[in-house]
Amino acid sequence: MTDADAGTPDSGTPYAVETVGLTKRFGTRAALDGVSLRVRTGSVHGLLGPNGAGKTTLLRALFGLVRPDAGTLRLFGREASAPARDRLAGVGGFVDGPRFYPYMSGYRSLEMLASYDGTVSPERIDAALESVGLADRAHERTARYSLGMRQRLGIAAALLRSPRLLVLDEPANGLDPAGARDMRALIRDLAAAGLTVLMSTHVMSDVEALCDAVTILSAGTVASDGSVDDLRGRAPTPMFAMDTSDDAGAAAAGLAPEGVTVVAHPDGGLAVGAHRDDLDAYVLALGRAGIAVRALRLETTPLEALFFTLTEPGPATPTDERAPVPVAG
Amino acid sequence: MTMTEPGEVTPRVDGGRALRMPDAPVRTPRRTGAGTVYRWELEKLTAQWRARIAVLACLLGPPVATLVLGTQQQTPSDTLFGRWVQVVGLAVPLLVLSFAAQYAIPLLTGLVAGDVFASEDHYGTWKTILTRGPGRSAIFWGKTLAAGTYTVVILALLAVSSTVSGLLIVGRQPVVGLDGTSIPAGRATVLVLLAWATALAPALGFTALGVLFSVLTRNGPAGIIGPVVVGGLMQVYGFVGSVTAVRMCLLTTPFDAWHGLLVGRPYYPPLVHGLIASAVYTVVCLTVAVTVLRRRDFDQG
Repeated sequence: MTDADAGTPDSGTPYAVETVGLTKRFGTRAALDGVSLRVRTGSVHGLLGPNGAGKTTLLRALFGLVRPDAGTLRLFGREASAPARDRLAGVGGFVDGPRFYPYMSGYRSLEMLASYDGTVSPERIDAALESVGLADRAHERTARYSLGMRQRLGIAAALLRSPRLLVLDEPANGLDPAGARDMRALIRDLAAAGLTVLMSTHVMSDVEALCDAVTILSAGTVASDGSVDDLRGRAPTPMFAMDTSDDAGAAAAGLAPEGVTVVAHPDGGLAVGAHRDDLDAYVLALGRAGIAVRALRLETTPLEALFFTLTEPGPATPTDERAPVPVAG
Repeated sequence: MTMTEPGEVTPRVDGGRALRMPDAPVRTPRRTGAGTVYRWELEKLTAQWRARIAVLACLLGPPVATLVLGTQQQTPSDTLFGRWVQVVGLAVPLLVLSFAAQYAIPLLTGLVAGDVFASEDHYGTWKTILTRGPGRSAIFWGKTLAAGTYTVVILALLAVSSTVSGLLIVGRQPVVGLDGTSIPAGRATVLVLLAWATALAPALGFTALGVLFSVLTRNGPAGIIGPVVVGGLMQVYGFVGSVTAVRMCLLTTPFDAWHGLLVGRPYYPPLVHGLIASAVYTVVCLTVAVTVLRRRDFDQG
C-alpha cells in the first residue's frame, strides 16, 4: 500500500483510488490477481509493469470498462457498482490511447463529449484546446491528427471534466521529445493544482521526475509499491558504464572499495555497480592510481534495476547480466 | 510541490509550446442520457458517406427505375403490379415495395443498424464514450433509436419518392386490385401509403436484427450482411416452405401483409400477425443485445 505525502482527505477518504484484492480473469488467464492499491488524493502515482502485467486492465476496471471478478474498487470512496455518471464524477483520462471519430473535428469531438457530460461550454472547450496547443487545428477532422495530436486531444477531453483524478495510460506515447516534455510539465501543473494523477508509463525517467508513489505490477499482481524514495532504497545497486585509460588496472583487485563491483562491459570498457558515495570513492582511488576516467554514465537507474528485478523471470538482474569476464589489458 | 490554482501557468524556462490548464468557468453538469446520445448519433450518421449514399439512392432510385421501366419492351410481370408499371402510376410504389421488401430493406436498414455498435469497435471509441456521463443502457437506446429513425426515414423516402415518381411520370390512374376490383386513384393513393406503412414494423424488426448482429459480432460488415443473409433465408423458406405456422413466424412474411389492403374488401389478419411477429423479433433482438452490451467487458477498443 502506498501513502504518498501530498493530499488531503476528500469525500471522507484520503484515497482517490482504493482497490482491495481486485481480480479479473479472461478465460484461464488472470489479468489481475488480487491487486490492492491505494492512490492518495493529490499525489502523482505511477503504474509500472511490463506489457501484459495488468496495468491497462486495472485502468479499464477503474473506468468501468471491465468488471472485476472479485475484490473491491472505490473512487473517492464511491463503490464501483454506482451508476457510471456518479462513479466517474471527477474522474477523467484515457486508457490505451485516446480515440476519436475520424470524420469529426477535434472541436466537435470535445463538444460531443462535453454534451455527454452535460457541461457544454464553448469557452471551456476553447480553453481545453488552447491548453494542449490544438486551438489552431481544432476544426480539422481528427483523421488528419497525428498520434501525438490525438494524445493531446485526449488530455483536453479529460480536462473538460474538471477532473479531481486524472487517469493517463502512457501519456507520452507518440509524442515527440518536445511534446513529451510539455506533457510532463502539464502533469506537474495539474498535480501542483491539487489533482490526483494516476499514470501508467514505461518511461522510468518520467516516474522519477513526476511521481510521488509507484506501484509495480507483474503478471497481474503487485510486485512492489511505495513512495519513489522507498523504492529507491529497496533497489539493487545502480550500474554505470565507465571508460578509463587502463581498464585492466581499474578492475584490478584492491582498487575498488567495498560495495563496488567492477566487471568488463559487454560493449567494451567497464561495468561498475556502485552506490553514488562508493562510486565517488572509487573514482578518487582511480585518480590516485594514475588511471584517468574518460567517460562515466548511468546505465541503469535504481528504479530501473528494481523494475527489472521484480518483473523479469529468473534471478537475472542488471548486475547479473554483466557476469565477470576477463578484462583485456 | 507548490500549490497553484487551476488556470495558473507554471512558469516555463524551456520556451516550449504552451500546455496550460483550462481556466474557463465550469458549468454544473446536468443529467444526460439516451436523448443526448441519440442527437449525436444522428449527427454521426449524417457525417457518414454510407448513410448519405443510401438516402440518395432511396430518393433517386425510384424515379430512375420508373424512367427505365417506361422504356422497356417487357414489364416485370413476375412481381406484383409489375405488369402495370407503364400504365398505372400507383403501380410503381407497389412494385418498388415488393422489390424492396425482398432485398433492399434488410440491406438498407443493416447499413446503419448493423454498424452502429460495431463502428465503435472499429474506431476503438467505446472507451471514449463509456467513460463519460451516459451509462451503457443510455448509449444502447440512443444508438438504437438513431438506427430506428434512419429506418423510418429510408422507408418514408422510398414511399414518397416512388409514389411521386409514379404519379408524375406515369400518371394518376385507378389501380386494379389483387381481386380484380378497380380502386379509384384517390383511395388507391391512400392505400399505397398505408401499404408502405405496414412495411415499417418488419423493417424495424430487421433494424433490431442488425443491432443484434452489430453488438454480437462487433464487426461492421458482419453486422450489415447478417440481416441480409437471414432475410434471404427467410425469403427462400417463404417461397418453398409449406408449414404455415413457420411462415407466420418469419420476419419477411409481414412485408406481404399489405396484399390484404389492395382488394375490394380489405382483410387485416395478416397485418395483425405481421405486427406481432415484428414486435417479437424486435423485442427479443433488442433484449439480447442490450443484455450483452451491459455485461460486456471492454478489454479492447
